[in-house]
Amino acid sequence: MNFVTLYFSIFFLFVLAFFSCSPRSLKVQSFMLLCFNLFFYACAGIQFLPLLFFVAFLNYLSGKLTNSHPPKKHVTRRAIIHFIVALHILLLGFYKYYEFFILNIEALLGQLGINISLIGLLPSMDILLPVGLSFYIFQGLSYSIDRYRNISLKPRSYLDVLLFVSFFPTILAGPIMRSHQFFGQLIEETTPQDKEYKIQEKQWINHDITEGFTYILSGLFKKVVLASYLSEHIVRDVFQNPDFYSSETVLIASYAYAMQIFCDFSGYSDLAIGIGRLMGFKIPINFNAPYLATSLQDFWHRWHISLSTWLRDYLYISLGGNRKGNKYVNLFITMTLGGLWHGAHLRFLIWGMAHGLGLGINHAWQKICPFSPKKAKKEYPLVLTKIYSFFAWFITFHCITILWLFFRADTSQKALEMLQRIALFTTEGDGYPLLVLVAIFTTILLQIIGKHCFQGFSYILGKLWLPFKILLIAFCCAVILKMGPDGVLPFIYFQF
Amino acid sequence: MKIQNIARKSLIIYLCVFCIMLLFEAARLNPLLEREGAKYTLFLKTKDFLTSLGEQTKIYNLSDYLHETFLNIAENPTLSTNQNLTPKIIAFFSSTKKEEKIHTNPNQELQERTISSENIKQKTTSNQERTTEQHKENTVTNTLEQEQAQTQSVEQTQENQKKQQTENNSKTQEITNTEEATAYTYNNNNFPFQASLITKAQNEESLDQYAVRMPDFGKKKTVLIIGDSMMMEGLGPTLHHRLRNRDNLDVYREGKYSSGLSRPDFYDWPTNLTAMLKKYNPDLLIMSMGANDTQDIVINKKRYFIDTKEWAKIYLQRSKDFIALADNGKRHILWVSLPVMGKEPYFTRTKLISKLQLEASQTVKNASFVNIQHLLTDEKGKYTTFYKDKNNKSIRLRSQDLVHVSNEGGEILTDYVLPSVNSHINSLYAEEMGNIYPPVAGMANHVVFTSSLRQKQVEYMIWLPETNNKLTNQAKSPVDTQKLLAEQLENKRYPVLYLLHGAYGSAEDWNIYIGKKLQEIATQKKVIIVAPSCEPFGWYVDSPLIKNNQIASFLIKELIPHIDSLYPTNKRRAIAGLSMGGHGALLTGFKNQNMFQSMASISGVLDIRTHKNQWKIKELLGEYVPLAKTQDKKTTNTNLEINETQKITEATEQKNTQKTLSKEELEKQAETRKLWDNNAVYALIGIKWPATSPRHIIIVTGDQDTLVLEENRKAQDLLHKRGFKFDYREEQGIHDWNFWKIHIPATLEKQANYLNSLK
Repeated sequence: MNFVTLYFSIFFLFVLAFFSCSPRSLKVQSFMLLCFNLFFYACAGIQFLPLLFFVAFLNYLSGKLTNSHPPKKHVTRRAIIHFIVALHILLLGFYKYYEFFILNIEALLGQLGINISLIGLLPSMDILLPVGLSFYIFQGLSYSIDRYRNISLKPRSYLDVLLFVSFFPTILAGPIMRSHQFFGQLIEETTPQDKEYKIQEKQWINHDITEGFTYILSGLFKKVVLASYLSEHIVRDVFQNPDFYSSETVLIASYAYAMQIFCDFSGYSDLAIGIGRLMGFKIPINFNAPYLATSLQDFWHRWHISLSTWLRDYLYISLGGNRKGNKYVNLFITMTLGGLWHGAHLRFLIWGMAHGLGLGINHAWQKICPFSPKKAKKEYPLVLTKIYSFFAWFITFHCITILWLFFRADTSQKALEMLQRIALFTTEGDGYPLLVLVAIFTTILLQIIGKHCFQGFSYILGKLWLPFKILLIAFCCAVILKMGPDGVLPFIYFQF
Repeated sequence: MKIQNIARKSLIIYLCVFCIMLLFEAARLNPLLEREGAKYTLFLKTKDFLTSLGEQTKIYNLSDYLHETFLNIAENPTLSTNQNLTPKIIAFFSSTKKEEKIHTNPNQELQERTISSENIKQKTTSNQERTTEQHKENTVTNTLEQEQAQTQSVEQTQENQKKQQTENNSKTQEITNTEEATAYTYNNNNFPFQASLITKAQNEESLDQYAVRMPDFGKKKTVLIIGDSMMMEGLGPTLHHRLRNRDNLDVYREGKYSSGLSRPDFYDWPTNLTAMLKKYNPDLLIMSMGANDTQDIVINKKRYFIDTKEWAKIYLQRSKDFIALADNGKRHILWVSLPVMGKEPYFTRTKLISKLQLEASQTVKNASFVNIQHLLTDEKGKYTTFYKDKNNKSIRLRSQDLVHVSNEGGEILTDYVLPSVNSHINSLYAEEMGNIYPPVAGMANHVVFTSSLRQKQVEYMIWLPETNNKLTNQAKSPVDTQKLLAEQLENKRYPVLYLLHGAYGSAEDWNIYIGKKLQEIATQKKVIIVAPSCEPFGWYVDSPLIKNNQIASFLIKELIPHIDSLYPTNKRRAIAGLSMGGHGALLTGFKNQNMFQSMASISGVLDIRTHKNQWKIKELLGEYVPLAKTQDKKTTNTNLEINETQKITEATEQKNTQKTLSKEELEKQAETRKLWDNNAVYALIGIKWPATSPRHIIIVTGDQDTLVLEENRKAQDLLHKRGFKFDYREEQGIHDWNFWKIHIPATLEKQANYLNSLK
């Protein structure tokens, strides 16, 4: 179920209606939420429900075994967690890399002189592609590894783990929540119900609701207006046949894709956060103006934050982090695996490896030349630091944009073709609607002043009288939907 | 957990917003509200404004703007750029001279090719002054021959260029001793015909080598590709890409994901099509849609469920309306079916939709339908996601939803669709240029000529034996072709193979399925192959009911004289055909003694009387009423008594109709019967001319061909009885192209060998 559909809006209406009628008890509400989660996931594909149960069960088991009383030996705990992680990776690999592996084995056999069609013999996995598998497996793993690392964390019941893994705003495409972030919000209210508390609670609620709706509107705007426009009017066509277009258009298209993927994914995250907020859940932010980053390192602190921190906490640190082994090798491995997480394609591998390499260079550069514009403000004139940051931003942004080409193009051949086309400096070929420039510019503007706009809008919304509030939201909603295309394309990140 | 309180509050807001949005949505679908709701129209206008802003500027690059303004400011382009351009200009204008150069050096030619295409663009964008100035430069570097022209061109303006061009042309043509050439040079006024033609033939890869030739003269044609997600990915982009690479086409592609004809509330195709047609005014419209149409249709709150007859009726009507909307009498339309689907219910439903679309496309004159349902399948003809390429590597043809086509799948579909596209484009050129467009050896040619018997422009395809390309390409007209061919080949003349297509088909079939093979046969066996288009249900007869269906006469009185007059033929001919064409081949062969030395029927309908209610034969020849056994005797006696005696004797199904028949009607029946007998191959065997006449007859059928196997066996018996010498074979297969692809080329080779062996 796509968030931007009528079906989802009806579903969510029911969710809210049921919650508002429910008794004020954690157990009942958790159970209801679980039911909604399962229903939501069943809509994406009922045949995958057992898989969801299985993943939740694995994590439940892991938590139970590693944090049992009395505590087990370290060696057994490690063996258990290794086993659980391996199982998860196997699951993920099986579903995502099945075809990739088989095709490669087939090619290998072909080179050895054995010509059999494995893909024909083995069952087709075409229909079996569980939506959001990579997201909820990561979410589940965070639960297990947290329990393993911190013995004081109590293992949760199976239903709790299932609730966490299947939490419907985040199950399809993140943000990947951590167990403490989620379970921290799953607590019974014990505070006394005095007058003061009630006033305070009202304020929180008001705040949550206004922010929730603002998030949803911002998500809708990014997804429906910007991402759809860029995709339909330049990105898709140029990526299909770059040789039809002038160098300028191809260049603009590569910028447009960078903007599109940001709008698409951060739009989705905003929607998820907003939806969670309307139910009283705080979901961590996933994007923080990534294209303002002045280094690749900075970029990964701002882009898909939930994934990059996950990779940092559970992969990079497990590999040894900064201390054990070679930092650069660790970085490279982390980013390569991070790229492969997106799917079994050479292009994702290239993308991940390039990012790993870039991060390595970035770290090395900082070691050689520890110049930070913030610290250097006093030592150097302001203009110089500004120029430095501008160049840093310029290089970073273009590196990212070029790498996005490899991420998006059907083959790396095509990405190179696009780069060649840009390098040709030819005016021969088709142009693009100038509105694309407006859309790109708007997206950049969103990164710069988006935060202030967000706060300003939610402030105004919070101050308004309820009917006006409703009217304002409805008005914005209508404008956004009318500005978008008739049908909204699926989110890019659903495929991962 | 404060979930309850917060949910209560957000529910209120959410519900209200939801209701308001629903109202808006309702307003969008209700034109009445649309007009009255002031707020709503504001949104609509904003959207329209934004989209129009987007559309208007689509053709421009920002740099183009800057470039143009720059050019306007600096009116005189600098000399240095001008000098750089001069060699290109030579390549562009002195085309006739170019030709020999190109032949000697293919690499150079490649460069020049790109240069000249660049130059065409330059020419269109730059102003007149520049062009004339460049022209001065050309002539300086030109050869002695053009010295005269050089002195002229200094004063000459752009109009005079054309005259000079003709002069140049005529000079070179004099060298090749063609007297009539000047008469045809007007083709050549503006376009570098020969040079680009040759480069094209050599540049294009193996696949296009056998494709239909694209003329480089005549107006540029606009092609518009429209459709749903099928045209947005897979087939659409590859087709777009292939066509875009041709200089004589402007190709555009428009489409909408998840759209179709079932849900105009989601995306109104008719309205949008009208807008697109207005915007591009395409000469050829290629479309494919329907993958999203497998859903119920709602009209006026009434739901028509899919898989019902009403639904099919509505869908058919919508398809007809849609294609009629695109038709303006001149425009060609190519409707591409949906590919086979990997899951139910799409699989059966898209088959139905394709059938309906086929029917709809037949209502428009210049429309054709390409069925691609049998592609992207395995050996058994079933859906497949992967296929093995030449290197034995598995390649994904479909995306994971088992519906959409991957890029590789798109390539396969494009390979298949392209010949049909070529055919349409060639017809467009043929319509524009008339008969002047000369066929060329080495590839399939479409030729159109006027048939007075059939009262229309008739198209045929012709494959000429591969000869010296250079020489045949110099021809400006069919007359030229013949002359040149005859001269250059030392008065060599070739036998002709006539191919007759089957029911539902046209000349194009041959090119689509076995075009490459036919060219090989023409080249290797040194024969000319001619495949005329003779109506999908023409049955190769002279029909008394349909006035312009005089195909038997057309073949003998018009086509064969036409071919003999234009091409270097000797008087040896063979005729062959499949299915309806098999009938046509033997019919024509048996009726015209000594016209054809060899005749062949592949899966032929050898006794049309056994198909009296099939394939629209009765529309041509009238209702066939076979003689009842009892009736048989009586007709030989007296006609008057029949009415009375029948009442008593006949208790068959025909009883009710027969008894009311008057004498005239019976006579008419007898006449029709005679007509049918006259046009049934089975009834003609051994009647017209004796079996002893040295003929070469080949009959081939599929051993599982349920349609015609029986009558082929019967015909074999009769031929045997009457003492004919013939070659009869039953091969494994059914009544389809998989069978014909193998056995038609084999049969044609035999015929060609036979003709060549004759003295």
